[in-house]
Amino acid sequence: MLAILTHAFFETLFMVFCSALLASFFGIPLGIALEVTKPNQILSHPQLHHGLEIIINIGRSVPFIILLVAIIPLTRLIVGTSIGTVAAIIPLSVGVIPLTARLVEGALMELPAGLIDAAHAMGLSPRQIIIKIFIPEALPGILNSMTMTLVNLVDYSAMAGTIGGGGLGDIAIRYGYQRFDLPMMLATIFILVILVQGIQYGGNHLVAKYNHRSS
Amino acid sequence: MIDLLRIHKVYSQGKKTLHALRDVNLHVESGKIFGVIGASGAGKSTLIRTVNLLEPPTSGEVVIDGQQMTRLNKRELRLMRRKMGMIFQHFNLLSSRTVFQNIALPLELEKLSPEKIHARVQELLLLVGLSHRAHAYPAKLSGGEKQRVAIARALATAPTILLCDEATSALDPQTTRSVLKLLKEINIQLGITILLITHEMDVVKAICDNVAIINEGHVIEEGPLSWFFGNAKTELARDFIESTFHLNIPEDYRQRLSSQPFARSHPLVKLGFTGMTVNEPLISQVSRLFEIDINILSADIEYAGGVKFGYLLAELLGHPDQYEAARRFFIENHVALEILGYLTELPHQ
Repeated sequence: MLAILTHAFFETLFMVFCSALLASFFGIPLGIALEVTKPNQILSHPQLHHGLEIIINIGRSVPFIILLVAIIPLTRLIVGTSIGTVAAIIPLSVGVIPLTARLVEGALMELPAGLIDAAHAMGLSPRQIIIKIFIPEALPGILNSMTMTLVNLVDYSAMAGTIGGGGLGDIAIRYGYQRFDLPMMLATIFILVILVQGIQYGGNHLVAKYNHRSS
Repeated sequence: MIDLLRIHKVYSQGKKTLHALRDVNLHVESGKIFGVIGASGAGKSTLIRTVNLLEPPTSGEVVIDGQQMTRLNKRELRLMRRKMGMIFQHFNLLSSRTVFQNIALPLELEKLSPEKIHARVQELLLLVGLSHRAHAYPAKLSGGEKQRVAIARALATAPTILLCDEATSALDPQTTRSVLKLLKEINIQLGITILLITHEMDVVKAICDNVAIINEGHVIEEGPLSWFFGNAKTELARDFIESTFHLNIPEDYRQRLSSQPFARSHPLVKLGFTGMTVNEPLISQVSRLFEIDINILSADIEYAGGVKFGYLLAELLGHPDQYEAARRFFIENHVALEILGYLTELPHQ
């Protein structure tokens, strides 16, 4: 039992963190693009903004379990197979990119409008405003978004388990749900709870470390 | 040098149009402190924001040191903006950077070496008196300290012009005075031209060389501070000037005050000293010439921009025939005299 759980735990960790990396890699720039292309923003581009809105809303409206199946062809194209832990990373990433983008957009929207005035008055270019002002100033909010993304990924990874993704969720469903193995199910739940607590604790710690907004 | 020529700014939102600036012409000489005063919504904020094109004018020319701002491309405009500093009502510092790092930001854009940045920031910290707070984050600073950091940041690239957008409006009176003092020192030491906007006449009175009043998008009066205090013609200008003087009739006097003269009554007057008033001991002259005792209740007179200016509240106690002669004497010497009412003899006399 211990061997099964340990193996599943590392599978979950692998899926969650690889997906989180991919989701950040695409989701953070997407969130920034979503914010800066708004009307009256530094790179105002209404058509592009509208297009991004539509894509992200579509992404967020498809239930994850459906997305998982729907993008099997894409998964096959990238990974070569649609079964297994590595293959699960693709739907997991695609599933949380829109969420990450929205959360990052939200973090940027919270910045005081006066910062843009000050930046323009100092002669910063839009690129410099993003790199030197938006990202560092929104960092606590972005870290907070990443924490939420990770917790969501732990949740979604259980669903990915159902299509052969492996991990703790897979164990909980196969042993607990299908075989009524109560101790195994409780053990997986216990590990998942600890994992989510750990992620949240670590996330809060980082947010506090980089948050200099209030005394 | 800042020249605004025939500036119009129109905001349109749907069917509504708002004419924020109407044919504004302004000339700010190099090395001077120029104050634009106006009520909220008068267009003063739009005015200062057109200078560095944070708000591009709908029509008209903005000329800075001979450079036509509206004709610059985006890159040229950014370079030009680095020659102008700007500070704001809410400071707009970066919360993620320390005092030192905030001031260093404009220098990073200039691609200076870390050593040069360090030396320049130290110099600026010294100038604004915050060397001991270099590694604090803005959240730990008081309002006055934050504005000092903002001033240091604005001066980092050694600009020739400093724009102050309601820079003291979020500060308490004492902090306001110390920040204004700093601005004046900078103006004198560095010879920097300062354009400031405010809704407080006290700010203008404290440091400005020249003043303009803006109302409903028009500049309605403009001139040197001393001229302005003495010669402002519009009612709005006078309201602003009066707002800096705090003269109230004491409550017990107000109760005894009657609008018409009556037997054995004497007048309570407000004497207004304007820029035209000669600098002579007029009160004692009146007292001697007309045998009138003058009992001063309160006075708020200041010496600003080379002239004496202010108000004085006093009872005139003398023979009724002499009041008119005294009134004429004051008027001849450019003291505005307003009779506020009539009082009976003081109870203790």
